[in-house]
Amino acid sequence: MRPQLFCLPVLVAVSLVHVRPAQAKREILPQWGFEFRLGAYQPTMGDREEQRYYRGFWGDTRPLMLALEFDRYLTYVFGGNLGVYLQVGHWKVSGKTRLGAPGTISSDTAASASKGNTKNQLQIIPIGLGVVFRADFLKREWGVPLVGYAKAAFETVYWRCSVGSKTCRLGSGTFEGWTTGLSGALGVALNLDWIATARAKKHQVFVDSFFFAEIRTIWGDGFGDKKTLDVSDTMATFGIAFDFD
Amino acid sequence: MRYLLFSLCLAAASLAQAQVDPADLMTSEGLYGLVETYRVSKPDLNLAACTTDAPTNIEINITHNSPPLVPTESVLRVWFENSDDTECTNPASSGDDAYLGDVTLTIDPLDPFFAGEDAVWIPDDLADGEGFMPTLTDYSVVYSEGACGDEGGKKTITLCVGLDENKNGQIDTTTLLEPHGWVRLDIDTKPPPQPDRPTTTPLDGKLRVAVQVSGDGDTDDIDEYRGFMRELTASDVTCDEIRNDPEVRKGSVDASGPGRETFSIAGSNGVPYEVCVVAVDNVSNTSLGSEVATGTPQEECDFGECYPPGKLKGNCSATGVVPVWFIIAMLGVRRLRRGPARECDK
Repeated sequence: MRPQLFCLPVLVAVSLVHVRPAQAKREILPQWGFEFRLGAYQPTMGDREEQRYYRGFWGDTRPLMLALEFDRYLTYVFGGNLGVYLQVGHWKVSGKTRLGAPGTISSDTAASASKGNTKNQLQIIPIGLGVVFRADFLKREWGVPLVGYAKAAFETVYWRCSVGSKTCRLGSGTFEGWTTGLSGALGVALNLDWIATARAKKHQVFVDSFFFAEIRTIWGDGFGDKKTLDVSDTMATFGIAFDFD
Repeated sequence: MRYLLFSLCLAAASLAQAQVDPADLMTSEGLYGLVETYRVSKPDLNLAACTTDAPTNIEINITHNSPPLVPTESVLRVWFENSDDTECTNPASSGDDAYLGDVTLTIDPLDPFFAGEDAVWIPDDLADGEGFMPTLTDYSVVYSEGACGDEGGKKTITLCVGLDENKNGQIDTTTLLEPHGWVRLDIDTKPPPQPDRPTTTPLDGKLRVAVQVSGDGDTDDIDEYRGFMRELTASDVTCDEIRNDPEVRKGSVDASGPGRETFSIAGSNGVPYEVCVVAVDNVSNTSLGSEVATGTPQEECDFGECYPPGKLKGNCSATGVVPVWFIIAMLGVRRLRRGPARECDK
């Protein structure tokens, strides 16, 4: 289990022990939602050789992916809001080129090869369109400030390698393209009503605000296409969310 | 009240024309109408203009406004004042004020109306609402002690143009409101200091050159560094030798003062080069060349170039991704079996 995942049970425990039950809001159903999220990410890349090459070139780090999500709730069923969402993220890893001619650097030598002086970057922009279900009956009926949720989406992911201001070469073309796939997420959101003062609640423009943690998996290999960049990963994601009426 | 609108065009053969604010050209006292645009180019009044025997030419074109109501025997006067004052008056006694020495008009053979050293008669057809003011060319303007002396210097002068309608030798801007205008010209004969010895960083197929000016002197108006590079020859080579080499490779970068700037000059990997730099100010004064640095471009391999061959398909499009694809892909209309990257290598 990744260290980030320890936060999830801690978050739940803190909310249950220290949080006063929020007042139920039976009368207000949110129509829109907005999320800002962060999560450590590293693409799978492909087979073992490609993975070794990636780690040799960029190291075994997991840079943060930033993402924004917009939710549109369509109906309230089974004790929760059911809706659709659009999520757009951005991730990049940066480093230097390697000294040597193309073909002289392999997956085994990428880590040990001398670094060049030109900035090199790989960036990934995932765009997901999917379905979200937020089970808020605990909060709504009994004032427990926890909302569990699940998501599933179709993903299309843009990827590009750049060197200086140009796109990297890849064979006779350029190192950029799209990978399609699916994603799924399970998470829990802590309602933040308990930290808002009465005065703040009076002036707030949103219906609810949350801190959330989720486990998200991207199955991004072009549905089995061996020649596309495999952007799959399982990542722990944290963020804040707002619901609007 | 007379109605006249000037448009001035100062042209130097070496300069392209550029848009300027009309307020830079005319004083409001001399205008009785609206001006849409002016086009003006000013010559570089720099050290090179001082040291050459050829005069620096300023061409003035003045066209009438409609309706033109110029008295047929008005006199157009052109003079310089040794300041950046906007009040261009009293041209008849401007001999003491003329910073650049005597203003002389060289007779244009195509201009039958030329009538004096610092004045020209307005042609009749202008008064009738047709035609143009004469074109006056070949002003010999750039020699002046102080500006072109040993020390060099920076001055601002004002080129004044006015209609002496009552032919009293003066342009009245207070009571008679004779039309007049002015243009400021900056004289700078002081080149920037010599740049520091540049540093070079080897890149793939080029050298990155970093340069700055740390010496004292006229550094505020530096607006460009120019680099010169050739294959390494021998030691003790000077920057002038490199600059004058017919095989020289060049690069440049805009600057806004003496601070550090970088730019690249293309070369061949593995070939050693020698590089030097000059600083250029905003009127094209050029500094002495820097000391010479050396460097060798090196072959580099980026993440894409060295990617395990045959593992990945890239994009063959020269223009990159079409935005429409973004939308289509987002909606999931594309083929699900494969991303939109087009095959370009097997």
